[in-house]
Amino acid sequence: MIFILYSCGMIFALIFSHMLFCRLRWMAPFDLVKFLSLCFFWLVADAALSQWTVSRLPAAGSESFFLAPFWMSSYMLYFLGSLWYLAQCTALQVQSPSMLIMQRIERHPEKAVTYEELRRVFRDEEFIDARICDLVQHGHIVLENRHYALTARGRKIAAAVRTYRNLIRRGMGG
Amino acid sequence: MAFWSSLDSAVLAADAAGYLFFLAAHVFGLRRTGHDRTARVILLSLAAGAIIVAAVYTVVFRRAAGENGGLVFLTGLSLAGILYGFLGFHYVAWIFGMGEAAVRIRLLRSLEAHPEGRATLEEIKRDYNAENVLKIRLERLTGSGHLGMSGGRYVVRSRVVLLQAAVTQWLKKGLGLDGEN
Repeated sequence: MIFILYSCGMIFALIFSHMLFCRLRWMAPFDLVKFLSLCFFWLVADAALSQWTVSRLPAAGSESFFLAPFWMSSYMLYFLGSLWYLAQCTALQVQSPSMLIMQRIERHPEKAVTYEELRRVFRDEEFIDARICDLVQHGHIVLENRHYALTARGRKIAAAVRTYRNLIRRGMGG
Repeated sequence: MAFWSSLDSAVLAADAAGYLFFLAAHVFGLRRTGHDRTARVILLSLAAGAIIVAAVYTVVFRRAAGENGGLVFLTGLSLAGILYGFLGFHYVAWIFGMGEAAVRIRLLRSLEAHPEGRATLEEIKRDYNAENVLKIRLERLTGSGHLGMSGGRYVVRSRVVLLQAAVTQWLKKGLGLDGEN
């Protein structure tokens, strides 16, 4: 049990240290390399604390409920919890259309909106043009003679998604 | 070095079995049903996988620990359930969601569908534009029960997406991004 608590503690430590460093402008919220370094730091802290507990308490791993040896599964909990937080941070980068729809309805005085009211909020500039700029910036497409073209990287991603969507027999998505 | 125990074997073997079952079941289910059943198929496959997790954990725990009861058993079962939940979340967020709901991925696929993977902005928008995004999302939110219709207007039926929006808002505040967007 204590190893699980350690991992939960390290997930919270990761979240709060990341928030603190971002607020202090020591790192950008979406800097993946620094985020992964921070994850690794807290994982090492987790392993060190677990090891220290085992060496201090010889009964670890015996009949005690509190010291039940959930070691690897605790590390797995930390890994998946960190990945959950990373997913949440990634979702902050762009406005989700579904979330925008739900929030518009929720904030409306009558908690109900017509299609036309929603249509006014959905503009190409935000949902298409801005995303195309992102794709160009990340090297997935290039602009050549007024034409956007897939790069080798963009082509690979599109092909991988197409194969997966064919496997589950679903259309283009979006 | 504290690394692996028989309890870990029980938890991780159960999660691996349940997760593989979920992957196979959801592919099978999605191939045999229409778009309107997508959310239901994934939820049912996740639930079936969770049953496999519980069953495999019980069997492996019994063999490893020689008993079937007590707080250690329940703690391990809860841990296996939480890990399985995370695995399900990550599959939906990183793999299924990318193909299903990412606008940028859809734009890449639209471009791929054009001859030689090239198109002007106008041609891209002819296939896929903000109005399409809205129609697709409304259809999906209505189909999965998050939205409903009342007197010709859309109303919220389930608060799951709003809960996610609240988490997003809290994170933005925590990261000092609440003034942006």
